[in-house]
Amino acid sequence: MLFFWLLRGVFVQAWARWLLALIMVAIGVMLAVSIHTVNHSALAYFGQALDTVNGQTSAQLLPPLGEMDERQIDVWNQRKRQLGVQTISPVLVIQTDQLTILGLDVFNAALVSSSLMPQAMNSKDDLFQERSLFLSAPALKALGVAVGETVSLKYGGLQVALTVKGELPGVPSQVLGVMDIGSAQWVFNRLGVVSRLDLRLEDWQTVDGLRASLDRMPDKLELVTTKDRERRMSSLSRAYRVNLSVLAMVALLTGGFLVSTAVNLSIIRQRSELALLGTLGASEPWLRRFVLSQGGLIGLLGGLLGVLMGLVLAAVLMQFMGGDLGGNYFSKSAPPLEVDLWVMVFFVVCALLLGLISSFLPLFQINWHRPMAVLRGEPGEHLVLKPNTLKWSGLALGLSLALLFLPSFDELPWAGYGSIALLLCAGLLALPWLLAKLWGVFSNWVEAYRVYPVVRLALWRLAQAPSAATPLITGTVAALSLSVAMMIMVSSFRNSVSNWLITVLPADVYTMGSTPTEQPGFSATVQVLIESLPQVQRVETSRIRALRLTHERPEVALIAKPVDLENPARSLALIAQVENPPLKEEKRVRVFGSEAMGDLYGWRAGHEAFIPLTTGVQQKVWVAGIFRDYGRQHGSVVIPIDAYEQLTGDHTRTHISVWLTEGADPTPTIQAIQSQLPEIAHLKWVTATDIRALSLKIFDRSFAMTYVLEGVALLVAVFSVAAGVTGQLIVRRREFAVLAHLGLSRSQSWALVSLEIGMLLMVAIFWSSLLGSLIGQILIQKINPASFHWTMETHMAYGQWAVVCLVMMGVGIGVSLWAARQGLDPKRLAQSLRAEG
Amino acid sequence: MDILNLRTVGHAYTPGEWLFEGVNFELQEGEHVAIQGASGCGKSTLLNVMSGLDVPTSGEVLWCGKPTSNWTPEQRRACRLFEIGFVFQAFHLLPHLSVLQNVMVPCLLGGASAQSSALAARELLSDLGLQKRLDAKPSSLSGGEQQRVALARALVHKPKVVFADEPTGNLDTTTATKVLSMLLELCKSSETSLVVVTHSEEAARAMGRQLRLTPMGLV
Repeated sequence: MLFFWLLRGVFVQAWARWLLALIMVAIGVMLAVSIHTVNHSALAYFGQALDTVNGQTSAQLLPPLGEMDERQIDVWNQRKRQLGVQTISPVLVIQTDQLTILGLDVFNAALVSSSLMPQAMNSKDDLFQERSLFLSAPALKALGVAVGETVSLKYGGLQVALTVKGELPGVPSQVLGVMDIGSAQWVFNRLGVVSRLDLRLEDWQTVDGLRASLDRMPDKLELVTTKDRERRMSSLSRAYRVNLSVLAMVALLTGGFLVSTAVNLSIIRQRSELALLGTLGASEPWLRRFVLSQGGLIGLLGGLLGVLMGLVLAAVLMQFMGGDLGGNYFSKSAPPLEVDLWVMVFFVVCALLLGLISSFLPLFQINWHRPMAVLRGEPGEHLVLKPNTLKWSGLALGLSLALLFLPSFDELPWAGYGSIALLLCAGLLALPWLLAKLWGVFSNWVEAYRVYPVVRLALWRLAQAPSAATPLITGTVAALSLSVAMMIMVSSFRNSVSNWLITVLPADVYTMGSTPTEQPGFSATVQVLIESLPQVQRVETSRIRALRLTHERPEVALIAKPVDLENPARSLALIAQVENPPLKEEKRVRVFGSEAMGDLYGWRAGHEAFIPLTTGVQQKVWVAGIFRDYGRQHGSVVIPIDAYEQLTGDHTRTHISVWLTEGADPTPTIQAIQSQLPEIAHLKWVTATDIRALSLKIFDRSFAMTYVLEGVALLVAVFSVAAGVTGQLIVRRREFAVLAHLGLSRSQSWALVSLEIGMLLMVAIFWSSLLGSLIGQILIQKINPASFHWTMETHMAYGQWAVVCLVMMGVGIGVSLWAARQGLDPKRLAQSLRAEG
Repeated sequence: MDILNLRTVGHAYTPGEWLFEGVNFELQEGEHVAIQGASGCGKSTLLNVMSGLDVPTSGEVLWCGKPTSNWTPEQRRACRLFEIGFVFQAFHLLPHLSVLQNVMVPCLLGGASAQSSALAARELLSDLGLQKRLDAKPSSLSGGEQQRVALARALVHKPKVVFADEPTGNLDTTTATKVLSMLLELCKSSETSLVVVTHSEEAARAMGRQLRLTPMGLV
């Protein structure tokens, strides 16, 4: 009961500060919960969509370049018994402008993927009619058509009209269409082509058994299982999601510093009460529990509130942004809210632990063994226990450095994150030492000079009471360090992307597809026709395809384009190149891999590698260089277009780059191309300037959440200063009262407070900038390459940094002045001298 | 029987710089003692040593005939909790607790039930004339009232000894006399021993025995 009374008293006495701390914890949890929930819901929804498109099949055989000759079906049908496969159902996937259409062999599909079976409204013959299309209910709604009506769809340069003949009862929630595979091949001009083979296994066969059998085949296709699909779906966005979650946890952590500041100030206020209870016989563990429960309670309540706020925010975000938080990994359609209950419990426990840890550190503010000294009102500084934080700081720094040498675990840089956390701890633990040393030296130095008395008083105070100053700026240093680190990382990334865009976009005008890897190709002869236009100086055409290298990872982009092998850096952002390339006469297929190819598939410049350019054949290639590709996180391979054509027999193109003559206007040129070449009229044209602007816009959008979290960290820093100054003034009111009696004017006392805060903030800014720069380097050199498989050059945003520092300084001094005016009015000072000590 | 014995006790915060040494003292059941001395001579430190809050640099402290030098912090705490009451010059009431709650604190810390603690506290506060201020907060009380609440808190758990450090130092003469007589009255009626550190001659005269602390001991 006494515990409850005292606890209630603590919260009632300084409810505003506690409420602020609670809100900050809640904001941290809210961000973490909302990010997780949006990602979780999107993954569940799009995973479900993927399952639907794949007809819930447990196993599929896929060709490396996304399509195969339908004559292969016979070969695989002959192998059915050997492989333990009961039925093979060929599928052609057509990605039109409005929906995905699956071309199915309904007899086999009925046995393999029954959920995709269409239901004809009138006659069974409708299933096989040339232009019959069957739509799911959401597709009917999305296209605004009814059964019996005609729908017009675009596929590459084709405009195809199909009649809706029925529905897909097994597809209740996805926008999907199904038609007969033969009809699909015919109307979409894909004769003789299939996209995949869906399998139904014999009862005795397992997926692992099938994989083992396939490994023994000379011309195997890639086996993809439901589990593989889930893993690939997850790994597409995993690094981005983990990074966002870590950032959210950082926001939670900085909220923890505010709890720590609140508990710290609370303890300073309660020092005499705790000492009294100790004198009266309260045990040390009881008193410790009392202090810990203050932060614990705030953490728990903040966690619960944060979960509620996070779920609301997630629902709002999904309403407005769909399932994508800026990384462009998911489509914009809004998935239903999926609450992961255990993760919610985890976040509440995290907040509770954070509150307890935040309260644990201020326990050092109490010297439990000298309660009477506290009660007699002896000066506070020597009553504070001073653990050797420098020793711990050194240990944390050593561990942080050691972690930097550890490799990624589960393809994510967990050790790097740990290193950042330990580096931050090391910096914070070194603060008391830094402050004592710095102000001690400065104060001694100033002794010899004539300075304004307020400056001397401020320096004396700072030099002699570092324990009081440390909690005041700990939260600020933590928040500002992380902000500076994020600022450096984002600025470096943006600058590198901007430079990269200049290298990779040398032409004036480009074609752009929303899903370039799924576009049907067009004839290479268009190049000659475009070149014949008077405004055109030069034309390059290329073919981009999705290349499946392993069932465990998402596809890489295979880019077949003209490459100047004498000087590949003209069109590729090379970061590594073989100094002694093979002689021209040597028959080696030279390719270039992106940095991700090095990280994920072990590609090294000058080494050999294998890529399946045709079904069943692993083509030996020679890696002539490694280039930077910020556009394709999961890897890309550039192969000279002539080598590609020779190896695959594919002479089609998907992309065009056009160099204009001096002074030519892009708009009429594009119009001329579109009017003269109806074959490629469907292609979207953009100028290099627009692509650069759009890319940077997308970049900024993908970092929107980072900016939000940076803002939260700065908000915490400002609140931390405000809470700290207010609390300190309450504790020091008597000191100021005495100074006032000795002749310190009101304005001088305000100046004294502002000066102390200003000087402390200067140290905080200096220390945070140093720590932030180091953390930024870990983000740039370790976290980013390990998460996204690309490197970047460091670029410091000095302007942004200066603005943040000035704002921090201005707000800090402003808050301290306000607090001084509020807390140091003559009436209150007089009261403080009369009050009990 | 002696409740407290000090045998050649000395104390130094810095080795070699004795605040006092060779202090011999015994306190009997129900005895009231005043300790006086110049400012800074170590009166409060001596009180801390007597009450077990501080450990002597030299000599031995015996509590009910048992040496305390090898007591654990937990044993010292238990002794303070059940057998000692404290009164301070600055009252030291918990500001956010009511008068009644403040007085109940020692009983509750000792494990007593809320009902029995409240009963004991009410009775004592009533004896001290504060029965109408039970729900008041310390900030609304006068200095004399606050110190009366502190007296009640020191005696509510029926300790063997009350140690009072300048209990009237913050009060005017009339109030101080009144508070001191109340303290003496309560200690007499409950046969509680009392050790008062004071600068006040009048307060010292009211005690059964007056001692003066010098660097060479108590005289």
